[in-house]
Amino acid sequence: MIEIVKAGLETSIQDYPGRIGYWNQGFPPSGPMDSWSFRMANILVGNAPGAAGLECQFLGPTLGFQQDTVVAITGADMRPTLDGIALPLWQSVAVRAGQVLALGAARLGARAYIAIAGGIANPERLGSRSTFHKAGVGGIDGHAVKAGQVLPVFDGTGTAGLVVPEALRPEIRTDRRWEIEVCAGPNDDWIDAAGQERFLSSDWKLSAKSDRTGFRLEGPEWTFAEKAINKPKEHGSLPSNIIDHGYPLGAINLAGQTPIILVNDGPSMGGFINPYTVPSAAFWKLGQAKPGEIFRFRQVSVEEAQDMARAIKARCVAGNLVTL
Amino acid sequence: MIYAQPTFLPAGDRYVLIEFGNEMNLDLNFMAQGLASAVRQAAIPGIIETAPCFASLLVHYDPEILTLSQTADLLGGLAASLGRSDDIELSSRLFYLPALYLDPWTRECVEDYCARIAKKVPDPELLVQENGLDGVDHLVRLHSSSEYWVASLGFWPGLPFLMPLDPRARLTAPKYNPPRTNTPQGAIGLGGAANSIYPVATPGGYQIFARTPVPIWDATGTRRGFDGALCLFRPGDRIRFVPVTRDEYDAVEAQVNENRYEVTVVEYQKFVVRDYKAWCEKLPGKRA
Amino acid sequence: MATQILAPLPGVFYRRPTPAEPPFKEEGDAVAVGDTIGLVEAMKSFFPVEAETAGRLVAYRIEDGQTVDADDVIADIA
Repeated sequence: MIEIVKAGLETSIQDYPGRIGYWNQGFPPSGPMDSWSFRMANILVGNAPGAAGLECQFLGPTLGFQQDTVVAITGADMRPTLDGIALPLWQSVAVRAGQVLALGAARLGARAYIAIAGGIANPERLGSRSTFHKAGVGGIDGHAVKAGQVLPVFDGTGTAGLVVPEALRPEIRTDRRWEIEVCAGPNDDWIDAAGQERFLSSDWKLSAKSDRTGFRLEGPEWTFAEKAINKPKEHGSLPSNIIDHGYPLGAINLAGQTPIILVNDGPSMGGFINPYTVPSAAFWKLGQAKPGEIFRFRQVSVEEAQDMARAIKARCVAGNLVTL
Repeated sequence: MIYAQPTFLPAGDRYVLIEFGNEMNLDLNFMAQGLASAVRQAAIPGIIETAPCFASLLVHYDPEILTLSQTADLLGGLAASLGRSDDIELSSRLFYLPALYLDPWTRECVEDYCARIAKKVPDPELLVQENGLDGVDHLVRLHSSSEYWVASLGFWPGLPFLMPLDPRARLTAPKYNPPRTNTPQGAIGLGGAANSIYPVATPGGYQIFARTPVPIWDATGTRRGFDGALCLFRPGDRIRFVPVTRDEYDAVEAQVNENRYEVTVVEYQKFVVRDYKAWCEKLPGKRA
Repeated sequence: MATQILAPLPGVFYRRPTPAEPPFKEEGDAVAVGDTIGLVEAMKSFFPVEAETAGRLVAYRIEDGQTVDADDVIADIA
């Protein structure tokens, strides 16, 4: 059992790949935004890559351990300490009953992941332990963790002293600039050639009005193809309006002139076009980007994006870990 | 228009969006739901899930098992085997939901919007004006006369987008601009040509004119009638709103609060598109 | 004794509660322990930046609307 001493900023229980199979009732998958770091944390403590752990955002939690266990922290550097002593990231660490693990504000990256040997044992909702904070589903009582809550943990068999080699970790940018892969579509043909060129060659600034439902971007104006302007009136009055349709996860959703990347807790459908889609292999970058940082988008083919996801999956296996 | 062949639009590394046409009509939704149903029955390894919307179907596939072109070929083949939409038959549950039309809560919500945000014609009166009706009583009669088709769910989990099956009950209304900052849970509203029920209190943009005391959303999964699901409806369900008095509304609400309310639902029916179209053809006094 | 007020988390720093209101503090103002001297916005929420020592706010080191990292110096107190 683990007690939440301080909750941090919307720290939540997530599992991977999350709540899959309910998109047609409007349920997003939830799950960790940086699933690369998340999976690595789990395999470090001997769990299946998708076992339930904690996602810490911007400001980490303080946890009191009521049992001996093994933990690992990956992703953003929130300068974790155990009883006041600095802990390394990307490494499995033994924790004794009575010790206190504290995470601070994110210095490098935005989201840290804490895995505990065995995994968190909160009840499943629709086949997943992930928290969908906005709608109050999953987690402990549907929401982010709160001070005073006690998290149940399954029995685990972690080993301390395992490390993720540096070459197998995501490289969190220190220069505040990110190159994010995108696939064209589903609605790239609603944007004119100049608009497509502008999207791929401009700086886009990540707004602070971004959370696990959507990442809002600030940048140049969009221009549209004929198709967006002369269309049946059912589509709606704005060039970026379309008859309500399903939104893929990662869609770059154009609400009027504002692009919003729809992420893990995002809406399943709506009436705006999605000219581009961020593929799953680039989600870790979204998870680690902070407000004010700059995105540049690089177009890749669907096959390239699938290969990238495969390469990340191949990294996140226990056989790749080394001992200290 | 309805496309001669569905269009396959790639959407990242694990989704493909299939468009059947580019207008709002029930036929396109029947095609989307027909394909969703065929995909479910075919249980194709590598197809994870589908989500129908008005005129399209989003498909989530596993690129470890299927490539994009294999996915498109399989779905294209299934879509072709469905033939014309007339041949589509869908399992469809029919829900009867008590509704208090012209209720005090949506009225108060609209008055609050007028006082705080922007002055507007009250929602029921606006619907009467926009659709050339004889008054709010006519609105209530017309709105409660049709079954509503659950075309899709989204925006919020369990929030249904509803189309009236009786063409005579087709109403349209502009959406709020700017949107409301709040809407009572259970409010029934209309925006564009779509109707909806608000599962929880949320911001909103539809014109609201009635309220149901029956919850359509339950985050705990313990409510009677939900069978462990968190929301009441699935695509392809039908809903009929049953006008009730304030006393009846209060009685249902009391039963809901004690978790002893039994949702009235008919589960054994098939929706046959051909029969539906034949019925539409026979109707007198169709509204254009 | 001179102290510094640091950003509690990464985000966007604001000197005013809303764009229409005056700043929380002007340079030269007295501050008490717990006084809010600005806000950091992250994940659609605003977090107060509070003084941990009393004194005089000598200077803001971050402009209104500028991006901050955790522990960036926001203001000097003397």
